[in-house]
Amino acid sequence: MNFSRALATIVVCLFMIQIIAAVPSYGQNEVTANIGILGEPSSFIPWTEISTYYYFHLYYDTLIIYDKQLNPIPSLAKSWEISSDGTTWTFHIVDNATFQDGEKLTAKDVAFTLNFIINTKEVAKFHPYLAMITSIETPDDYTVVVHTDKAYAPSYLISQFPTYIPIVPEHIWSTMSPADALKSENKIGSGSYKFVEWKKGQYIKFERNNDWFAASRMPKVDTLIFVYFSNRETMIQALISGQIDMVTTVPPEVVRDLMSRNDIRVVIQPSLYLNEMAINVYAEGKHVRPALLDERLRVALSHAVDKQQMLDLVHLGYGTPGDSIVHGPSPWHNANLKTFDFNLTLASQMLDEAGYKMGPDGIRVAKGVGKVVANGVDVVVPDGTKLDFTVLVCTDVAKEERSTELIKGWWRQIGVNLNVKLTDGGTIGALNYGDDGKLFDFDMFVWSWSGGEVDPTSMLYLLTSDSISGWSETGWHNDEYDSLFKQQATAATDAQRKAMVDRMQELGYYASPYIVYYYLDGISAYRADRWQPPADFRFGPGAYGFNIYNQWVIWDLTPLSTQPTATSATTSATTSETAAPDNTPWIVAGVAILIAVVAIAAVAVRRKKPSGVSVP
Amino acid sequence: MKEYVVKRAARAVLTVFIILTIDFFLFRILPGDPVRLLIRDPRVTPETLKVLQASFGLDKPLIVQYLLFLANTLQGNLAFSFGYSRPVSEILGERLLNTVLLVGGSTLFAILFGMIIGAVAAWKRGTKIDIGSVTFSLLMWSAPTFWLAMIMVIAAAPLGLPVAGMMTPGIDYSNSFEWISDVSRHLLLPMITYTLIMLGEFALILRNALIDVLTEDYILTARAKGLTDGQVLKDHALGNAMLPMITIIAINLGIVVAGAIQTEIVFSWPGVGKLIYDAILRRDYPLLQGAFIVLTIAVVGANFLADLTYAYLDPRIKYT
Repeated sequence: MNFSRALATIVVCLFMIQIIAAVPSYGQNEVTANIGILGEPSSFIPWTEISTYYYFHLYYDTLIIYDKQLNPIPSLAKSWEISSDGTTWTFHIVDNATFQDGEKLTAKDVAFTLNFIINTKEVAKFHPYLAMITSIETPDDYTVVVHTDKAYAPSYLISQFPTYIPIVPEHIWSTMSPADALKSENKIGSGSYKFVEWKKGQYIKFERNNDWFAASRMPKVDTLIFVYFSNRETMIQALISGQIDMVTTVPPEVVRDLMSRNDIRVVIQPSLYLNEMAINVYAEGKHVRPALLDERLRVALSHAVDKQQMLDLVHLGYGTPGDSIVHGPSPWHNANLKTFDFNLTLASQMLDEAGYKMGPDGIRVAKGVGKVVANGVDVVVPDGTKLDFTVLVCTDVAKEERSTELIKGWWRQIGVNLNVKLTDGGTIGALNYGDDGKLFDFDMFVWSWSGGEVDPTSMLYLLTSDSISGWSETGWHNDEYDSLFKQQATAATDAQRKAMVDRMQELGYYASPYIVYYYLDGISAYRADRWQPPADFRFGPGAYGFNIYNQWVIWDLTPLSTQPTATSATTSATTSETAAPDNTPWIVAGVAILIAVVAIAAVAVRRKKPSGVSVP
Repeated sequence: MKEYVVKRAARAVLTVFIILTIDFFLFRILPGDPVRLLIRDPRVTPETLKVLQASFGLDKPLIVQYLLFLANTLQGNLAFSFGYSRPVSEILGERLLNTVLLVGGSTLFAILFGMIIGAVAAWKRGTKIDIGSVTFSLLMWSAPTFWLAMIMVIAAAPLGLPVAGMMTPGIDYSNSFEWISDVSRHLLLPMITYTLIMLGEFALILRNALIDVLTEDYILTARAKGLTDGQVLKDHALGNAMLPMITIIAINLGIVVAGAIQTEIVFSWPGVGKLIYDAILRRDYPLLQGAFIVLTIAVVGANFLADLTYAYLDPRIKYT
């Protein structure tokens, strides 16, 4: 009886091992790319969701897109004209675009999409991109005429709705009530990929749309799978073991390791991602920090920050030291700023001159600083104000706790004390934006802006007086800056606009309401044994993965040893699992033997006679 | 007996109500605006933010929000998640099954193996086997979960075992056997990790309880009757050592629905733990409340069952 029980155990165990050992595989005839992504989107509602925005550009099209070097090129709009007064834009729509359900895409769909957003106040995230539109006409099925309230700089207008708004099918969305439409996750578009499946918490699967109108850009990958990871390290291990083909957010620590492997290729590119320290310089509120309103103090503090060293230590040098609030790799960034060099002696001297005297405990105290003018308001820095500040480091950029600790060390040397506290983004937002009645109630905080767009408007807006009741992080404002902000959007030429944007960056940088740490690189990694090297991109996927400027990463993805148009060729990129050294049979055998031994031992023990009674 | 059950049940219901009330206010004490956390675009105007806040019902006074929450909960309506724009019950439903599979399965294994280790250690107390078992249990109990999990990932990756997720992405299964097989492969590492982390507790508690029991006179009597080791252990010792075990088993089964956040994150397992963590960061109040309703009911329910089992196992416990 014992023997038969042991036998049964072994059979059950073997059965379970059999189950575990069976390796599934993909269909043989298609090219599949598994792309590892951190964090999952929350929904696919096109109107309100921001985390899925990148995917919209796979299954929808926009009027215009940016090429790999960021020049606008035709997409749904095969050409466009601007009237001589600059307020009328005419888009000529291609006549061969169809939605994935077979319906033709016409000018009516474009007008419907734009009008739907304009008329629905809940579609908050898209509104700024159409705010300039006064009316839309569709003289025929393939022409859309858009009237704007003013003449805008072409580069600015193109960066707005033409490149940003995905065109949805009127025949589907017009049948829904606005309330239903705001909850609908309908995914019929006209884009390069069709949405197939979203396994919540696991992956999203797309299949190539072979009827896509832009045949010259037709992607080479049949099946595209975005695999979600909640942990960066595990994702890298999955790349190494071959479970995935590509990772867009590689931590700097593993770059050297990955580079040493010949089956993996690491790609380092500039990205639209910056980390910054915002300083509270809001003079008009209830929680004024008088010393921080003193521009001389802020400039001295800026001189006491060695950004290169921070970058080297925390990000192993993958990035560029920061200055302006406009992302460094953006064409709108002012490259001619005279940056504050790292000079502790100069910083100390500046503080001495400004009237901050070294106290007995090595921390400076204001003595006779007197009046400072901040934001056009006179504020007195009272004698006895200690240079002792607290900086909140956002948990989203927890690594910056280390770099900020370095700043603490430098500032201590010039007599300024800094307490570094790790805090979650919600709490920082509440202290900053005043949603709980605490408008600007902090000294400094550190967090990041990951670039939604190359156009500088969003970032420049953060220093306008308009933004103070909205998104301002510092409370800083300046009349010249405000008027330039209004003018730059309507500048007649891009050169004029660039001059204004440069001047704004000077104003913002020299007043030092921000200490921009750095512009970080985007680091991605491919399986070099399955994919051809990627082409040259102005921007790679950033620290948060893809954005709208690198759809080309997907479109250009080319497997090794396959014809560009092959849909039936078996390629080395088809099966992910089997590429790893397959030790499964050995593991199975080992585990089986182990279990058999244990089972037999168990039987042997059962057979043993009762042992002698020996209770201590 | 009937009175005891009713009293205990009433107390459980009251506990659930009090915990839900505390939860409701606790999440709202956290500073931060869910709308801001959802849309971080400098160009969205304050007026639009207000429209969105109103659409979430966040413009109403707190007490009104609370009464609405109570009314909805009593009707079994878990509201809409802010972040996911879908009913909370739907989101939780998808994840709960995955979590119960991983955490529930691991907990059962941990109880089984923990009890075996604990019983052997107690039986062989003072020997090298005992010292070995106790050391192993203590090590596993105190090992940081994320560390053990990462070691597993690094060790298993070169073997070709899947290190993340719950199934091979994008696969079309030709039959359900393939599905079971694929999920089992993915389940292997997280389950081993979580079982190891959990079993130390069970082993140590059972060992201590058993050692107390094994020195009792009735064990000596049982041996004197000539019973085998197995019979003494099974029929005379284990039953009496089970009382403390029931408590920790009940607690652990109760929190099965809370997920195992560290294990889930390292292995990217689509469970409830990660969901709750993200919901806190996003201030997704409806989702948090929904998750905690499920968690509260499970924990209080498991304790209620433990109370009943206790009374059944130990007749000395009075039905008061």
